[in-house]
Amino acid sequence: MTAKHIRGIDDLGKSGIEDILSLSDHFHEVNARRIPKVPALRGKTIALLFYEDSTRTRLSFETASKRLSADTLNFSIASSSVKKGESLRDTIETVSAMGVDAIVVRHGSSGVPWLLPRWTDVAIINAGDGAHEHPTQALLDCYTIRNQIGSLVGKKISIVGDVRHSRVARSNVKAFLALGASVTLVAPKTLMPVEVESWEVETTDQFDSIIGESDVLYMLRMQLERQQNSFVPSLREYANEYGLTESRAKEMKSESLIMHPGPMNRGVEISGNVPELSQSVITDQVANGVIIRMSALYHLLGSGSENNLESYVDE
Amino acid sequence: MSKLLLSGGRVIDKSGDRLADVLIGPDGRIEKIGVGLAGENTLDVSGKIVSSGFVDLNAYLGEPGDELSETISSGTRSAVKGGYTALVAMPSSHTLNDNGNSARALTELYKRGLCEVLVTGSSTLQSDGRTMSPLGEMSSNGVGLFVVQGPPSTDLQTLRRIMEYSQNYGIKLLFSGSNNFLAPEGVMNEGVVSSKLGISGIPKVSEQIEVFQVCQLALLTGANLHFQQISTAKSIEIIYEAKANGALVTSEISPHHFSLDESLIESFDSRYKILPPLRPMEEIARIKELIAWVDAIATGHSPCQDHMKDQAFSDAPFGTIGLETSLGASITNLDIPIAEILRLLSWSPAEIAGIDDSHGGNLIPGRPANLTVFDPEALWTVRGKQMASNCSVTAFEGIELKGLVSHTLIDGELVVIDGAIQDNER
Repeated sequence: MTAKHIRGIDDLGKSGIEDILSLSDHFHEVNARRIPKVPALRGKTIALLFYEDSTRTRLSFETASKRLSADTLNFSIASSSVKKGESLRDTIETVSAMGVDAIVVRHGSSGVPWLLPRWTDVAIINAGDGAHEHPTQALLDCYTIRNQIGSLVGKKISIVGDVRHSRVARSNVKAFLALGASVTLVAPKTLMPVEVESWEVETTDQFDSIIGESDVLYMLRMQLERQQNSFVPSLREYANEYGLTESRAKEMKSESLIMHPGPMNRGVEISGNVPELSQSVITDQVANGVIIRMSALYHLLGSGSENNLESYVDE
Repeated sequence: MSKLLLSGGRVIDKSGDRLADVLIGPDGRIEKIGVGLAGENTLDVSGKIVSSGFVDLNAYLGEPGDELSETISSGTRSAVKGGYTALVAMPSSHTLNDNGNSARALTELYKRGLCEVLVTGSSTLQSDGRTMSPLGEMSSNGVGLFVVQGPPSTDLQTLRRIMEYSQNYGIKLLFSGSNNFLAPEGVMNEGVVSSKLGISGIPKVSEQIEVFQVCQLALLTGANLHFQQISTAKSIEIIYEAKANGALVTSEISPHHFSLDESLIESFDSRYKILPPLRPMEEIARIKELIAWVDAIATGHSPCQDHMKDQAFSDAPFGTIGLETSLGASITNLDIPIAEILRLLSWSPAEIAGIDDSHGGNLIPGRPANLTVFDPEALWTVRGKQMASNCSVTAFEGIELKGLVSHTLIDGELVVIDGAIQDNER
């Protein structure tokens, strides 16, 4: 089953996630070639609409598009153009009128990818909306975990840090649960989502209590401005309580993984040589980002086209 | 003008409920109410309810300064279509009413409305939250209603002084809650839905703390104060308790706060972005149980240019229009007798606004014929594009409501006939 959009993990469900993960095994092989480019989406045009600065995610989508031979249109929209009077609808209708096949959108406000189908018929991929969802990040994280330790069924994944403001956490919780893992959120109450009891997760404010039993420690980026708004007294205190230090890393099971969506604040949520430890798969996550985004684009735009997957992978 | 007879309707006013004809004299006043009356022009209103006209305590008209959102003409056309014979115009951020001249000018300007429009004043100069406006001079220029706020925009000491000084002039203060001191970035109710959607929330206690503070000041000062747009059951209870202890306070609730719940925001449609925010179902159920303690239904009519709502949820402005849906939303969603709904829509707000000599009240000979005729059983589906307001974005879009205004009379003149506004000569 092919989804029409990838706005959130619920657009895919378990079968959609698994379809993209298995497509990624093919694209992993493509990426390993001397010339990592295939004509799967030749003739397709993908608009990258970024209302928020994001070098990494935008480059990852752009690279993925180009390796599939799609054309890209880059729109970096400063928030000032919103103030000049152009509504989101105007922008989307304009982009749509240029004749694109998909819109990859990042926006600081939750829900924008869900509004877009009101004004355009093309496929929508969410590259991050507010504190809501970031599905391709969750997909690449699932792919990374699966490649390292196999099936997620029964695995215990702990997400540590500012869950309240994190779209990465919201998408990952959904994806990890869909694939059969159990999830523990670790944060002080100020950074825990409100009404977290309504989420299907365990929670704790005691990081040390879950390190030894976790199969994955997923460290979230700590926004530096959080201390100004009294979410935490200081970044130092946060690092002491919730940072993954070398001594904490020693308490992990040897086969457990350390993950981070990037960019890291070294010395805050992660410190010392932890990102370089053998358990760390942080650079794998970045590499898998391109592969997963190729799969996501192909999942939406490639099916049913003459560019059958097998016909070019073997060429 | 000849004599107009409203024949065969069920007449409901503050004094009660009876089947009667209403005869309106050439002077626009009620001449007689009774059975078997004759008139020169007869309007058959059998099967319908003839009520004292509705009074809205909270509508934003845009003009002057924000005419693309709404004008006095479009706003009052929307009002009479919704059955309103009078409304309280909330200040426009573009025009500050904080002195005698502005009070006089706005009072004159609002006479252009199709229904009566009451001017509100700012209780502090330049709305600075620190310096009191000349309340006496303004009240002698026709302004009896003044908007006040609490922290963070106005400190409690200034608020206390306004609450004391305003009593010299019999002024009614309209308290407008900030809703944001616990959540400056909040754009919806804080709870299960905001948590799931990753949207910054406004907790219910934010409103309740403000209501409690101001109730305490009302008890201390004896001020005459009305709470606008309350949205939680606890707020209603706090106000009820203050009243029981002698505070001269009243409250209003808007139809959307007892009709629509926060789950609508799962669509991310900014038509549901309203302040105070839409609450959860269980809160709505509690509010409905306490509705007898509320003093008025007020629309909180907040038109904007339509395209402003074609934005991301957090970027769009707050508010929905409401003048044309309040009767239907109330009949559809409140399980109370129709007379109780009319208390909330008509005579109680008329008393709060201080216009119960000409609106609301008892329909007796000699009173101006400000009347609303409606079919309490009529089913209709809300379509924003069919509204008389300049703004067509309504939180009730696509929802079926029961209860529709057919005729509105202002000073005996039919300004709405069978749902059609009669303003060709204006």
